[in-house]
Amino acid sequence: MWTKYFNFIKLRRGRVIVPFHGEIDFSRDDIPVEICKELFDKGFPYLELTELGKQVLYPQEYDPMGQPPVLTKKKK
Amino acid sequence: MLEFTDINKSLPNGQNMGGLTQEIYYGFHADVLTWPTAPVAPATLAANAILTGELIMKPGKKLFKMYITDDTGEFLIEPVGELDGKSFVTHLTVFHPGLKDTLFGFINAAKNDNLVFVVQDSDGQKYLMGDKLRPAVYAGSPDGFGTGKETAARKGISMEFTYKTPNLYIYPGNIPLTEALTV
Repeated sequence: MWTKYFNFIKLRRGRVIVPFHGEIDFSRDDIPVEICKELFDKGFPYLELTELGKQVLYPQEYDPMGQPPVLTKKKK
Repeated sequence: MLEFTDINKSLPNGQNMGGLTQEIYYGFHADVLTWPTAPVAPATLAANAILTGELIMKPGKKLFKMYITDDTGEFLIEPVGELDGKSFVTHLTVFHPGLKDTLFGFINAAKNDNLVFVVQDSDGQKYLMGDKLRPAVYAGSPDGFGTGKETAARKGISMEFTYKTPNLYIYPGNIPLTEALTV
């Protein structure tokens, strides 16, 4: 479930029209994690990583000493 | 400093379908907390046409959908002004079928108020009507507003909204259809 890896922030959990994917209802629990990760990587302002998300999705950037992850942009 | 570049044919996947999608998104201008910003000292022509940032609504506010009949939605750009004073008026024309209470209520509320719209063309490119300084406003009903004469007529409301802008921009951001939370 995507909510293990991301928190939905700034809006009540619900619908947002996003580029390429159209309308996504973030009140649903069955949104593919890959889509959330893609949105997050593109700077989607309504998702933030949970601690588990940092560890699982960005293990290279994850610092177990408690430092926030430094997320690098994907190379085109 | 902005550099000119070649402007070649650019139709990704050969797509260039006209018209708007069957939904437009609207809200009150006063309900917007922060607006996307226009480019500052862009280096390329493309960067000179892209807004930066998100349309963020005030806490408890959001944008709303409006259904429009297919092939009735148009986003039209009109260059205006005299020499050394050129700018643009963008026109959104749509048709919503039926004469129901919700749409009457919308027209009653919107006709003299300041609005914001986001519209999406058939390729998914989005245009924002409204900025920090200027709203979109209701301009009239160019294609009729009523029952029609014949039984075969299309009953409903056509609407035109206009927005004056010094430059033309594409909005690459998201459209929040859920209420913003208190920061």
